[in-house]
Amino acid sequence: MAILTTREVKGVGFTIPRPDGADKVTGHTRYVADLNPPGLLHAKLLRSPHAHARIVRIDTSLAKALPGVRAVLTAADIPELHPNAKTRAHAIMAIDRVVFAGQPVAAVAADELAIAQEALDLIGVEYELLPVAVDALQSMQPGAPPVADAGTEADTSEALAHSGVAATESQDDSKAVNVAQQTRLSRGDVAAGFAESDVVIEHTYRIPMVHQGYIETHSVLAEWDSAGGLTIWTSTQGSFNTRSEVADVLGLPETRIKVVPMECGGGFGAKIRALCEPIAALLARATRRPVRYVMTRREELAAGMPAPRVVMRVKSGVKRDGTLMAIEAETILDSGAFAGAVLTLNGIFLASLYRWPSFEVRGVEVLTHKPSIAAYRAPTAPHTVFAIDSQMDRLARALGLDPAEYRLRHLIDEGDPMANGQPWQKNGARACLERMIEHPLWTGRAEWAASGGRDGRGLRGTGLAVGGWIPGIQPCSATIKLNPDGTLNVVTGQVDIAGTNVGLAQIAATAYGVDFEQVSIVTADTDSAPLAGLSAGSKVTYTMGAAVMAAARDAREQTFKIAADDLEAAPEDLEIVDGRVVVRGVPERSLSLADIGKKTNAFMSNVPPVLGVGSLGFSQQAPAFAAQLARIEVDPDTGLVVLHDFVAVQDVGKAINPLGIEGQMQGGAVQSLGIALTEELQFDDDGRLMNPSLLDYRKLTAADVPDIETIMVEVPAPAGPFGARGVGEPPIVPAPAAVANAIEDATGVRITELPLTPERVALALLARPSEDGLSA
Amino acid sequence: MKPAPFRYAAPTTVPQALELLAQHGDEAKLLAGGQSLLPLMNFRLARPSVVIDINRIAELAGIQQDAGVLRVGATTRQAALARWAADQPGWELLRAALGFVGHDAIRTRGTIGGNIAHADPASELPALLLCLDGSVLACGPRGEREVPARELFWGPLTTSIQPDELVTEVRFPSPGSGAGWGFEEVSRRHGDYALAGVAALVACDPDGRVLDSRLALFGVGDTPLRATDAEQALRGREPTRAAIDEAARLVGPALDPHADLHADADYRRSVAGVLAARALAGAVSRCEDGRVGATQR
Ligand SMILES: Cc1cc2nc3c(=O)[nH]c(=O)nc-3n(C[C@H](O)[C@H](O)[C@H](O)COP(=O)(O)OP(=O)(O)OC[C@H]3O[C@@H](n4cnc5c(N)ncnc54)[C@H](O)[C@@H]3O)c2cc1C
Repeated sequence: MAILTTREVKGVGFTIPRPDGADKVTGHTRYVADLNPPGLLHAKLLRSPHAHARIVRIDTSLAKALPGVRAVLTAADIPELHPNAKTRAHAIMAIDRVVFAGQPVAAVAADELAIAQEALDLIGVEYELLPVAVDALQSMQPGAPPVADAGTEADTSEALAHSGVAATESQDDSKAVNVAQQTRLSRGDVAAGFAESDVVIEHTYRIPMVHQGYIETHSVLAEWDSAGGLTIWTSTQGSFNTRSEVADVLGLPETRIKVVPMECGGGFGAKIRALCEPIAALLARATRRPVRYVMTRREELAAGMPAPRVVMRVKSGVKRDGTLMAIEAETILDSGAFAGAVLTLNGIFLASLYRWPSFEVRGVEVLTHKPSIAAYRAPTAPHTVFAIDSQMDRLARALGLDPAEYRLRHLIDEGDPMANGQPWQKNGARACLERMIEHPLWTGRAEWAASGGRDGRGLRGTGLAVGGWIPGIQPCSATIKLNPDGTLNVVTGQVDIAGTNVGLAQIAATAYGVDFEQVSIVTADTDSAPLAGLSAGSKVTYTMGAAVMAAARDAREQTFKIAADDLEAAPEDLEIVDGRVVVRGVPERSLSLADIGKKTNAFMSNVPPVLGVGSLGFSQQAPAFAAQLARIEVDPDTGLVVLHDFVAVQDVGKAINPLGIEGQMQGGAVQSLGIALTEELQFDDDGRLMNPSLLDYRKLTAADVPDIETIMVEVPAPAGPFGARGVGEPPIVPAPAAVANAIEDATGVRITELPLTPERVALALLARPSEDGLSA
Repeated sequence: MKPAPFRYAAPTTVPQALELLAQHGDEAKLLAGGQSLLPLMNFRLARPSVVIDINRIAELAGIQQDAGVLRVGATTRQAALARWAADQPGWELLRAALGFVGHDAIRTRGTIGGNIAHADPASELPALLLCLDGSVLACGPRGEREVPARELFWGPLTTSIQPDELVTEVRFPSPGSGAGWGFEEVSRRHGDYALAGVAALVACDPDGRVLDSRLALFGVGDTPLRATDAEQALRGREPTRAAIDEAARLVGPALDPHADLHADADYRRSVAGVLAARALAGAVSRCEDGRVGATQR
């Protein structure tokens, strides 16, 4: 992978601020909600207030009569709508039964948003309430009120999109009414393993549904042309995927649809799948006008696609010397009203992040009358690692062993089998942990603990955790052209949701041999761009980066070929120095890139333009890990947890743009800490969301977190461009476990349910045995 | 969401505002900083048909200190009062309380009068007013009246101010030189409304005995509350740790807090007691030297 340049260009490894940053923070960036084509109509959806009900009657006549209303659609107006919808996108609207509070039952397009809103109030819907299954445990029972229509197939494409790791076994027989998927991974004799164990610890871990919390809500604008072509401007994590899904939902040939990926104000997994694109397209068709639909924050929280609620019972047994013997676990994943959870990775991390000789982990995905879920940054990994890492911490404490050393002793390495039998690929889990335990906040943890509990201070503790993700792969392609002014222009269909275009420019720059300022990246629509995959699964740099690198090398070769003729030298003897192709060792024989570019664009010239193409498929995934440390103080009388310091160590393979990665590490950590401390979608017994605003659904803000120290380690990924690996997902994984471990370190109390609210902590402290000398 | 349709009026004098109130009665809502009213309207929990914007009534904004009473015009921004209090000796309690009200952005718009009139039971300033035995000045068709804090707060978001009245001024009596203060609050995040909170004042005689103690609680009932039993228990006593704890123990049992999304009633009751002890201890430690004698032991 050696690149022939005489001096280092400004490319891979340079710290580069996002060029789009200033526009974003000053409000100049244009999002879907800023698009105002002539004739624009505004859409609103009437959503069910009930979690489970039969629709007896819908009367839209008053709404249709309201001046300014251009269309009112219900299920009856949509021939494309069928029962047994396999995804949320296919279930454009409830047909005759609503299955979660917030499900659309009617849609309005009007001249103004206020008119559309007003029209919703004029639609009369008569519901017949049906029994509700809100809790997954209750929903799994025989006789529970059904969620999906009878005969609906579970959709597992999300799992595949996010991570290609395959399950070895799945059970399909004897499914209870609302069980959508089941998996089971096992090896060895678990019963014997427990029988031979000296210490067996069993806990049940519970994590509520949480929302991804992207700043830009789901937004879409749809318009048809007179030839029957549909254009969709949307905030998506994957324009080609959106195109496929919308085509499938509407029964259109894919290429009749053009998806224009707009600036995406955050997605974190929730904008992988189509959501509101079909209804916007249908309203546009009905009105023959462009129609824009922008979800409100309230709709996002109540009827978006959050992360599942997860309940895990985990039992693990070890010998007195710490030897791992057996682990047995049962995971219940509450997916809300539509299936689509990533179940296998949960089993893999539970059973094979550490070297358990015998294991049996079972998982079920259960449907309930709640909004259906989507991916959320390393889907279910924060949950899973909360369980397995808490478990390891407890075991170490029970055995009187150093918790970090204990993890290191049993952590997997390259070549160890995953629970599904595939080998673990080379990874930096160990390197992250080793780096973390050298940190002064870890080596100084005893002094920190000793400084607590007196002089008016709370109880102090330190916790760390290690976790990660197995990023996905997907074929992709990119082109790169040399312009007449000597600059380079990369075209991809890859949506930039995380500053990845900066990294792609850096990769192109280094691979070609120019400074990154000479490279521009264009994210083109589905008609113009070569195929690209999702911007998800931590794989943009890993996959598209490789394609861009291949394209840039191709372009470099083409450039040298052109220059070689002109300079009368062999292409192998050429190099690029400061924007000129130079014969190595003969600096006066050179040609500027602009000269070459002009030659390829001149009238009557016979020199073919430089057009590099990179088009790749992938087979090797590169696991990506992070370790995080939390130093906290617990107020034992109020249960308040104050986070004093937070350190994130991450294996990034190769830091293409360290600044961009730091942003990922910090942003991920803040989301992870939110899951740990404050976030929870709270549903009442009737399945209605009780906290549908950001006042009551609590994301952490800048004022709530300390400065997050970031440390990168680089364990190169064999197939990654310049050794890079995915960096987006790992940083959201470890914090819940790290904070819970820190709380136990401070107080001796283990809490196994998130979020770690003051009340929950205070109650746990009240319940703790008093012989440890601390007053309750 | 956006608010339901409404008409808008922006009077420039108090009589004009009163005139509009008289005309529209219950249908009208006064708009001050809008930090509480507008969210309610956007969620359509409030649907006034007329919004009377009082921000253009110049005479309603201003801060004056007058014979030991701080007179704050109703539309004075919370941020303006915080800036004023930043370097005013004797007003540390006010400063501390304001620091817990939302965030900078909210305090920049939110007004003192609006905050008091809104009467959120988890809000800091109503409890502060109660702690200081303050009052508000209300103007209405029947003229002007001064309403003491003790008679002001009737229930959650409900006060004795009539729909045809306008709060023109909020009066905070000075805690008095030498009195110590304490302010404690537990909230889920920085700037969130309190799960429970306490404002305390303690004044001691030259022998170090408690002359006066005041304890106002918020977030633990339908209105801000004075913990009168605890206050009594401390009066005339030496404010030792034991005495404070004893007094604070009386706080919880007297409360009937609500349970909601954010915390259970028991949690609020227990935390109110903890915070009361801390606020009292803080107040005692800040009683001025010489007037207090030996306090903490
Ligand atoms: C995110 C967020 C967090 C917040 N956190 C806190 C917090 O922690 N603590 C806290 O105390 N507050 C908090 N607030 C509320 C904030 O302090 C508001 O400013 C305050 O409650 C109302 O003041 P206002 O001037 O904005 O009044 P408005 O919202 O304009 O009005 C509120 C109500 O008072 C009435 N009103 C206003 N002025 C008068 C008057 N002169 N006479 C009679 N009636 C009047 C209005 O008609 C309306 O019913 C928060 C607000 C937000 C949005």
